[in-house]
Amino acid sequence: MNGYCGKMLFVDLTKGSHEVLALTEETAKQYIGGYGIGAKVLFEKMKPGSDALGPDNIVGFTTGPLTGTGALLSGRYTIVCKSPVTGGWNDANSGGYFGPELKKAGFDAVFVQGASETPVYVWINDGEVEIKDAAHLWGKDILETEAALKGELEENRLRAAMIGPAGEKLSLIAAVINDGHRAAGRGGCGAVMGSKKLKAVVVRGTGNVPVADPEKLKAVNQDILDTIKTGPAAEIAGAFSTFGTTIFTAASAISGDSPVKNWEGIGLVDYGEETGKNFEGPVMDAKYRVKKYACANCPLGCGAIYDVNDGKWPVGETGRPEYETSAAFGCLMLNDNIEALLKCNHICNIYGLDTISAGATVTWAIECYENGILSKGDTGGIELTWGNAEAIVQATQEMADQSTEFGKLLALGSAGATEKIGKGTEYLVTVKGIELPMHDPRLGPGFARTYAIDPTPARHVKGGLGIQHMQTPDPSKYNAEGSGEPDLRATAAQEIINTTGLCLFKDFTGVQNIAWKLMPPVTGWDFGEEEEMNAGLRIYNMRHAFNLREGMKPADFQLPKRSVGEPPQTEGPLQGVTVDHKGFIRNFFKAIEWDETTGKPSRSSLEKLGGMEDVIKSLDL
Amino acid sequence: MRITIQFSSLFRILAGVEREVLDVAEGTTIDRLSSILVQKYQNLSLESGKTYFMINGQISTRKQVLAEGDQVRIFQLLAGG
Repeated sequence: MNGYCGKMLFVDLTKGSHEVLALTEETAKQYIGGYGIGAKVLFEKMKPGSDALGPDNIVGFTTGPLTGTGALLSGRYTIVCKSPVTGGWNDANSGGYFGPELKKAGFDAVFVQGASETPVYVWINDGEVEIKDAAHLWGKDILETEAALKGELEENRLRAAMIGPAGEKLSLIAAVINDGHRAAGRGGCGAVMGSKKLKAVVVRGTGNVPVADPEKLKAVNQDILDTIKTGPAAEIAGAFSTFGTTIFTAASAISGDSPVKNWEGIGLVDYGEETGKNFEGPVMDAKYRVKKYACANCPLGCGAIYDVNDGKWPVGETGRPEYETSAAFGCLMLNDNIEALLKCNHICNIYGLDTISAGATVTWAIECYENGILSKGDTGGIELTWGNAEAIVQATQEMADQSTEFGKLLALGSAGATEKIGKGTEYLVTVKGIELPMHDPRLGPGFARTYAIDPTPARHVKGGLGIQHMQTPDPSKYNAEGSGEPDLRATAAQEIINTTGLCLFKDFTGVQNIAWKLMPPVTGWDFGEEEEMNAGLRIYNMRHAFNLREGMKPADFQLPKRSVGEPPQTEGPLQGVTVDHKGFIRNFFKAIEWDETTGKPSRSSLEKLGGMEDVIKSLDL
Repeated sequence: MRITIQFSSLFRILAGVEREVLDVAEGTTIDRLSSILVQKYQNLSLESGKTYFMINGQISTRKQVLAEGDQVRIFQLLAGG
């Protein structure tokens, strides 16, 4: 089967065993890869009601058909599991080199179930699998762990998906980190690894993934390169390639795209354009950049490596913060201190924390402190006020290492912390316990539906109308009328992008329909419009079915009022905006044929998609 | 009539300038201003569906007429990270 290894590795840490199962062409065509195949496998193999931090949870490391084939922009991999935060479906993806290396090592995916009594890591070396002792690695940070693995396995070219101390200590906002600073951050997947005493999945591969038409793939890759260099978006691609996602931090802060002061502030009033500008690539790069960083097979290369060797918090070599991090540790908490941003980003990377949830949780704590919900006694003496850089760094450090009671509280994430202290609900900006990312539905109203209703809630990388809406100033975007069908089409298309292994930033190439330029030469398949739509919706419904089987209903996924303008702001660019989120959601439910109360898909819609007999039976449709 | 233009983020890089003061005719709309800027800055592509013009802190439409002393911020938004 071209584009695939045709093999999935299943590791049982309780038994200390593993087996290899075939990935059939039928399943691959129906569920593509990544979280598509992940959802299919977890729905089939995980018992409903399993404890997310117990041995019955399964954590999967999945790739797409384009990954590892040489197709450009396809270096992503996706972690899947049941989320310990939502109690439902979770996926989180990351770039770097881990995904392609896993394919070259011979597997499309690795699923780990059970739990070890002592720390272990899984070592996959060109198809050979070993469960190895990791007691000596437990407690080490990400950089120390990677260095130790390279030393003891005598392999400098290995790639590892690891947890740091945050995941080991079951922080509900713990991420999985690869390549030093690439994070599959969201939904608590680091805690799931920690609960299994799984320190890392380590891979090294020298194999080739079969490709249907290598010459054609080469030609398509060349077309992409040419378009990047000389196409209509060449100037943007060039700037993005140099400065990455930090290219628009200031514009996002002043426009209302970035949430400010825990979603209550106004960029130009509370934060200022100059501050946002200081958090952008051109300013930060001038002082700290030492080299460019690109994920596997990426001609854009939107990352950079910094060397922070002076100032209050020197951390040495570290990854340039991405936009989400710069906003979460910037305007969201009114931090204007670049060194504090760089330090917090570094802490999150080496301890293994999701920077979005980490920034949002510290922000929640700041608002609680400012309003007397948390006292100086609660914070251990930290003067946790808006924009207090020293306090922000201290709180982030304690959240990461859990060295104090306050740190342990923050490590639960904002929703978990609220539950623990029984206060502070009014300052939460979460859906089903997951902190919202840094794009405001009041500017991109389509995000409201995506954040609330996507089976993996509170994600900006999932499909819908959000990005399209955010990018346009046209006020007609606020009218939900007729949104159902275009929302559905955009959602299905994004499912394909995400599951093929492509990066979301393929948009910066200026190449249209890139997935179906690359998929035919890699896989030999050329889906028509209907088949693509069906595959996307099949994957979407499978993730949703996982949640339904856990007893979840649409009413469980409520948007925080601040994020939709209830009440609307009285000044600034979002003045007077209230998002008709109920309208967008209602229209989407109608288009996808889900019952608004129970969330159940219609039997006929799933029969039309095909390949969902297990869901129909399990949900008694 | 004198207005101030502020290029933000990506547009600051593409235009190679952060701020400039322009004299424009009475009755100039954002749409007309856009044409003037595209002519002046060859690297700028101010697509109507994807370019924000913010006048004195408020997002404006292309039809909006400029007034003396207006501060116009111009930017594009991109998602991700």
